[in-house]
Amino acid sequence: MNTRFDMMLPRRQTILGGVALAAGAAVPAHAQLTIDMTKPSFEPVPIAIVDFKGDKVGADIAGVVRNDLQNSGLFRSISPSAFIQQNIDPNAPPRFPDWRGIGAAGVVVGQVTQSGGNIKVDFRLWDVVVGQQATGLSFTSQPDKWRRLAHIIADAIYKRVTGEEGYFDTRVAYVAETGPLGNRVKRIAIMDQDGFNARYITDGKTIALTPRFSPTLQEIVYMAYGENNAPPRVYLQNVESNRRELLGNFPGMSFAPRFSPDGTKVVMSISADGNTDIYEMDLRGRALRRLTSGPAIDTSPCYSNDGTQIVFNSDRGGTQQLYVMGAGGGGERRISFGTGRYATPVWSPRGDFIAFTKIAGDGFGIGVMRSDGSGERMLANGFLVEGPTWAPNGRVLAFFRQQPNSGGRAGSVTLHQIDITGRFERQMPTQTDASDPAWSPLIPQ
Amino acid sequence: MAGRSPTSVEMRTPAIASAMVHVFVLAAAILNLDFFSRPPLMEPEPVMVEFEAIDKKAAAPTIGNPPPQPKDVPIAQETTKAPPPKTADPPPAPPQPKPEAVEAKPPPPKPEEKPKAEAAKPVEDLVAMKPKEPEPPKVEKPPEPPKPPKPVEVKKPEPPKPPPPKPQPTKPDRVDSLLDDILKNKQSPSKVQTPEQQPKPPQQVTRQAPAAPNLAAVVTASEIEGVRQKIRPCWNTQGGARDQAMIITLVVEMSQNGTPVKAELREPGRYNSDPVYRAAADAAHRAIMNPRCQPWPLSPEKFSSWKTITFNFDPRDY
Repeated sequence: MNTRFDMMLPRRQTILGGVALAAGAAVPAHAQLTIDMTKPSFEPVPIAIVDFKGDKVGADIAGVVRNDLQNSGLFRSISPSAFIQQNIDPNAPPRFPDWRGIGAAGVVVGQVTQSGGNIKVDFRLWDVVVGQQATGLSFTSQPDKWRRLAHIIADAIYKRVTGEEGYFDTRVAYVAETGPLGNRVKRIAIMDQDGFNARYITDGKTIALTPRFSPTLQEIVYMAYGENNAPPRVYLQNVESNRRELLGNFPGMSFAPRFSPDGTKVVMSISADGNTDIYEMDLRGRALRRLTSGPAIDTSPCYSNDGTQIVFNSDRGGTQQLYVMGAGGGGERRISFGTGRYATPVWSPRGDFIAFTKIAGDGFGIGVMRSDGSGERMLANGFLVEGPTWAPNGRVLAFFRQQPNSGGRAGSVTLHQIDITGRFERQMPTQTDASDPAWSPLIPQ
Repeated sequence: MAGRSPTSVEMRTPAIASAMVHVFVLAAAILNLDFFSRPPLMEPEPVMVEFEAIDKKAAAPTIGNPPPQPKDVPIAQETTKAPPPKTADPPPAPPQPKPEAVEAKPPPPKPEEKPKAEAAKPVEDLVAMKPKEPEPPKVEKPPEPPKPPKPVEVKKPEPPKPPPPKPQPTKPDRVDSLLDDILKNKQSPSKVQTPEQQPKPPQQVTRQAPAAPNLAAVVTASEIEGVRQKIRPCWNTQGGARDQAMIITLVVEMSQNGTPVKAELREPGRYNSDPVYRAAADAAHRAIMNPRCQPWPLSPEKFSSWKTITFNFDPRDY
């Protein structure tokens, strides 16, 4: 896709609160009264998104933006049927009292124009309360990429309001499950984070599991069983071209692969001679380095966001627990000490938390803790919840949840996303049962 | 035995008694018992007294003057300064008299003559301090009626000086001592003041108690909480940010009808460089300026106390 940022549209007025808040107007040296405010409300921000004018795709773009923001849980999209002002000029300030009257904190307007075979999309976000423009951007792309433009606009609005990077222009790889429980077909699929544009990238002839995205390229690594009962191997595949290659032909099983933050290495578990340890492969030369050794089962390795440490799970202490070591191996220290067993650790792209699956007596749970093991708290619980993966902004997670069937056995399995605060869990739409999600980085523009 | 005569017996007893008395008297004379030689009672020295009109000084002097009430008291206090307690003038009781004038004049035989005092200062009304009794009579001199006096510290007598009595050596006089003590206490220690020692002009007429806050203008805690409850529904944040340890300070100018006119951020630099801080500041700004959460329940009579309000927003959720 060929997308160009034309960057900021001319501000009709000074940026939201920027002048009022940041200008050098004198602040009284001694206010007479001081009031401390704590415990804010955590209600979604009410926002009105008006269908973009111009090309008919403008309405579709506005619809994608509404869904993205609404699905994040941090925004509440006001229904267009409630709008008072109609036929808004996208290049002029709206009638703010009309929007305050319906409780909107922000209003988004835009327009789509044709530009030499491409489409050009301009939008503005207005702060209704203070009556000023918050942001305005312009994009150009191929017409069939209009969904990506919508996701990019949603990311820009998300960042302006929350201060954090968005995650809407991303993909999710997962294991698509079909067929009866006793004869399940599991293959790798990939979709846009909102569930659109789903497609398979493996053929389903053999079971494929644990897909993981490269942080830099549109590539994934995954484990797949070989034909004729060959042991599982780790594969590297480009999601655009579908080109695939085998990462090492080891005597035993290789599984649970993950990329390093710079995308140049893959860390994985290799079982040989009854022992499972963690190894690192340099993708540039395919050199293999052993990082752990010992009789315990060491698996599910994951790099820290800065690439200096690795978290993994091991039963070296007698039960499945989480450990952190240096990226070159050595210095292992245990970080999980709660009741139950810990598995599938994943280091946040922000570096502040490690997500994990916890297995306790009464079921499963998805939780987070700090890298020293402190601050453990659970985000979701259930019959079976497992396999967390971080969105690239480090505050949204996806995982899979399996419900028991009428016989109390494992039933359908679905993907879910949840905010790091534990709020706003929602099911991610998939065309089939789905498990073991992996969130991609932001798609390069 | 049978030969004793009744007459001898009757005579013996009185004789014995008489002898005993004589012996006693002689012994007393020899031993010089005190009560035979008590010195005569000395009359206390006359003291100088200045008479002042009672209304010139009503308050008792205090040590030092309280510091002036700060003008802009912090938080909810501003209140107007309470009016001074009452005496604007009462200068301290004879302050600094010049010391050495004491002997300036020879102790007048009638003490009270010290007039030269005119010392303009209105001196304490020493009369009030004086003990009341015996001395006054002594003083009798006061020909001039109250006059401006001077501080006088009448205090110490001249007793030493005046020739005679000087019995002081040994607490000669209880009454004198008492008077002296009283007078001494009035004045700063020591020093008798002669008229010349007029007390200085009452330096601080402002010797007044700290001004009490004007409670009627203080914004109460319940009113503050009412403002919080009014604003909070409009203060929406997302939480979950990596670095939540931040305080957004907004200084808000108010209109008299309880609505904010404008809000200014105290850290404009961080607003432009930190997107998370910027988002939190915008959320706080919207909370302040959202008409859905106005007007704020503040008493118009206290507008002077809340015409400018500083808000500190802490957006942490965990």
